[in-house]
Amino acid sequence: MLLTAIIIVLREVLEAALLISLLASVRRYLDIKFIHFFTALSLGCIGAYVYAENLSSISELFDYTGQEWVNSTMHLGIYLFLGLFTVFLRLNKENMQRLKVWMRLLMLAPVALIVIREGSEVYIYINSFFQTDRPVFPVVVGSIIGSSIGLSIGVLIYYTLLSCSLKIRFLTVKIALSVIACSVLSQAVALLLQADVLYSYPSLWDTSEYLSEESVIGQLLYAMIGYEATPAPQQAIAYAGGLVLIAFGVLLNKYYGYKNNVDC
Amino acid sequence: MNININMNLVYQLVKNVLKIVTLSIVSHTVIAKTPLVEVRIKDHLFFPSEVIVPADTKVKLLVINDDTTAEEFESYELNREKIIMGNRKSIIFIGPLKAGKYPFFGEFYPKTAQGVIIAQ
Repeated sequence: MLLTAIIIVLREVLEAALLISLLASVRRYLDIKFIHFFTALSLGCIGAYVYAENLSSISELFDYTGQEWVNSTMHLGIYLFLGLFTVFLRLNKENMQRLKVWMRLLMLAPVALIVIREGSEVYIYINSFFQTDRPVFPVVVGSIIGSSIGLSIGVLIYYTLLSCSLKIRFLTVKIALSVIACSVLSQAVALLLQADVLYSYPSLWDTSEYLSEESVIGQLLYAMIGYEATPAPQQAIAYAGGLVLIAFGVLLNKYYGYKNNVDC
Repeated sequence: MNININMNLVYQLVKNVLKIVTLSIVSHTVIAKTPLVEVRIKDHLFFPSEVIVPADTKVKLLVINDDTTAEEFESYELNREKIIMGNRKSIIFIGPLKAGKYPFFGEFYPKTAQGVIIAQ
């Protein structure tokens, strides 16, 4: 039970920690303080609690596909916020000061959403043990270990990024956020397939023989780049299309930047 | 010449969008014909643990959780993941699957909650 708790909590915390560390590494440039992150995290935790407590009734909506609808909407929201944040993030202090309020929203909204999404699962998992006679201690200890490992990886990424030059840091953050955004978009599509909103086709390829999603590397890659061994064609289209859209937005923003003599 | 190419692109785009929309509608209208397969969760075990479904057919999986605690139905092979709250039921659509075996498990109790979907 200890190992299961570590794996479950680590998986959920890692996704959130990765996103938060990337965003936090560019926060000073946008005049965003830790208190803002703390507010987003707190709102996310409250949201996770409310969502988890109401999941029974939410799940029964829309012919028992309510959970998929809510989760895919949250995923779509994360994609849009992260996509726009990546497009507008520029190495130009003056420009960023002008967009400060919007950038704050685009940075903190996905943090709150991902905490709702991942936090609600952790809450349901831990809370279910308090409803039974089974020993709670291994689950609590496992959860602490799992979240500590996830947070440590997040802190490591944060300080590694801070040690890089501003240019490299911005480029890394932009690429990583684009990949995370598209991975989240692909997950939104998977949920719509699960709810039978989209027509299901056989998977596009099967790489499970070479790299299983169950393996440690597979799970790590899933958290980092949204690796799936057997993706549906629509997921691959969403992933690639999402990347193209963000890249197009970045180029468009760069073009207008040069036109208006703003450094990129 | 350019106008022709663009018109063709627009036509293809509209055609594909309509195709996707139509297929989505079709997938809803045939729900009644979609085979329904029931799986129960009891004492952190799946019943039956071997679920036989028709190959190349979309299936509506009705998962009923008889336990008081929540369980997460998960399958890497099926690309499915859904929390089933205690004493509740839920629907998960799977397939169309090629003939073969597709393992699934309960993420919260993976040591006991194990099963396999056999498409044949």
